[in-house]
Amino acid sequence: MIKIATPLRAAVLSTTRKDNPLKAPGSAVIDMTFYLPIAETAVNIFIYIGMGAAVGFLSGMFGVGGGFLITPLLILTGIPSAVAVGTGSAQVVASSVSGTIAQYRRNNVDFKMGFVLLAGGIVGSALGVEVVRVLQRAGQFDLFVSLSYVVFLGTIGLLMLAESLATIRNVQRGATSKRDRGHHIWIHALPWKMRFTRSKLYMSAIPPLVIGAFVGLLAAVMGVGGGFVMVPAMIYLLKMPTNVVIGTSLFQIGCVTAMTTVLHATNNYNVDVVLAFLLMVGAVTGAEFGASAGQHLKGEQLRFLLASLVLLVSARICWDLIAAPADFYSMTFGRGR
Amino acid sequence: MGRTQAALFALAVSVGPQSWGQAAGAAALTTSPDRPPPAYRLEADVTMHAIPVDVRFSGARVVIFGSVDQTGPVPQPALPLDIVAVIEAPRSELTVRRKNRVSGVWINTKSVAFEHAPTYYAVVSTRPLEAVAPTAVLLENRIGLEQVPISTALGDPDASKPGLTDEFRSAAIALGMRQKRYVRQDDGIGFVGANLFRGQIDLPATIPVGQLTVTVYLFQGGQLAGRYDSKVNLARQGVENVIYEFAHHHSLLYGVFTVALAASVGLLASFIVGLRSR
Repeated sequence: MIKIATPLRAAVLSTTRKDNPLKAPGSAVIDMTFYLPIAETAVNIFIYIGMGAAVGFLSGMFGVGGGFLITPLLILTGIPSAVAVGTGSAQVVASSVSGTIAQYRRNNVDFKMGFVLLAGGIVGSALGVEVVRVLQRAGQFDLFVSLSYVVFLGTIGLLMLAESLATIRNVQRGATSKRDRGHHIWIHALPWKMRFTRSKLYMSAIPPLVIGAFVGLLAAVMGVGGGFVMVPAMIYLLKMPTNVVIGTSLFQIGCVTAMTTVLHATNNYNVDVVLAFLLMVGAVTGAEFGASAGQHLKGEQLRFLLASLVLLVSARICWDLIAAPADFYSMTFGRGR
Repeated sequence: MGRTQAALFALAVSVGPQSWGQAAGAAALTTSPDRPPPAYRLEADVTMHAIPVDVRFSGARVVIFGSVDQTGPVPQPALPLDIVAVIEAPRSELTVRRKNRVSGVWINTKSVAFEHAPTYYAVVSTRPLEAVAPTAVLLENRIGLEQVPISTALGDPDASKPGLTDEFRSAAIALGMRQKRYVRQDDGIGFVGANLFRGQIDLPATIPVGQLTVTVYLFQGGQLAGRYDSKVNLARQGVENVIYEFAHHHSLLYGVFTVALAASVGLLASFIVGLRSR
């Protein structure tokens, strides 16, 4: 064991010396720096596999695609923001597929509900692409995105946090947590009633269609899968069981991000397949562990953790808006967007 | 009339963003007919004219070398010799934005768009540029970071105020230096013996792929005494080239391929877990 480790360590040390102009050909085995064809920069592959694993773990556990985490992380590590958005969506496809299958094995996917949400999602994201164009022409698109992150993540995070804490407190007091099956009367009055067997619901298709469309719109504008909006909407508005919500939202997110990945590739040439692959390998591994870890937690505990995460990201973006920037100036090459 | 036109033409050439280097260099060599012919001749080259950008690319080192040969009587007392090398990547339109606080939130409020700015610009020299030549000579040849050829602002309402354009130009240069996009190395070139010199510039991994222009200048007592032009070509090779071409020329297929890859990675992972948990 030690005999193997020592030359390995020596090799690592020798290749970390940046000033060595004559790299020995054999050292390439240890030096894991790769040049990315679309991002056009050299990166250490372990950083991105690790990043994918961490985000994949969370997405498997909470049923969110992780787009709202991966895209800011990529930008933070020096990937151009356009490439970060396009590549992030490709990574979300992989972790959603893996997550959906893991949840499907546990019978946690309501495909009927998923397809209804997806139908709305396609309409919404088409609308969202149009909204993006209008906003970009008016300028301040980045500001709008940051503000939407703060408003939506902040509101949803706070609501979920309050609800999950109340539930946890009730459980601790010994009160039996009974699911509120009652719907608003106006939802019952809507037409196109469908039976969603897996979710144990008999309701109109209109609310999921509207939610799907709204999330699709947000997804296109904010460059995310929209799981962090979809999950609470399904829990609190559609009153679906938390476990089914996670599997179903993963299924819907996988479909939507597959579509946006192709759109990014054809319109903006900003999908880096090598970077996406590195993230995917980490993410699918993490997602499997995340899904198993999630099984050991109660619904309200999962919601509490997701709420905390969402609030953290929201606070971080809010801080960037309020705090004095490190650079007051920014430079962008190429023709204005 | 003819003279006016010629003068205007010369002016247009010397301020034209595409050809400033050539025109300014030629002008510097010919505008002082009273000066004696240079006593030295510059010979220079770079070690690599083609740098492959492949999977292993993590930046590259460009080595500049050459000699300064005596061709005529050396004026007494002998004037100091200096070498300055400039490496420049192709220019592109540049938008510089400034953030201001608006009701507690930092927002891009002002922006200036420049028609052309180098996407990479490095200047290396034997001594600090201020010691090599007077500012006027450097300015004339557009050498140095302060002289980075960021051309005049595009039709922007804010650009009518020249102070604002200057402010944004300086900000772009300062930011570019922090990003290692604009580089200055005052001791990057050294003389080896009496008339051989050698210097190097380390190009970062983020350097734009394409053609770099390399210009080596010889200064004699603060006056330009020779120049040499060369090019270094950065080209994608192997897998890098295949992926880049695929993404840009068959983008729909590329997008579908990426999604298929993502889906299969996801499926494979679940399959492996499925086997293990059985």
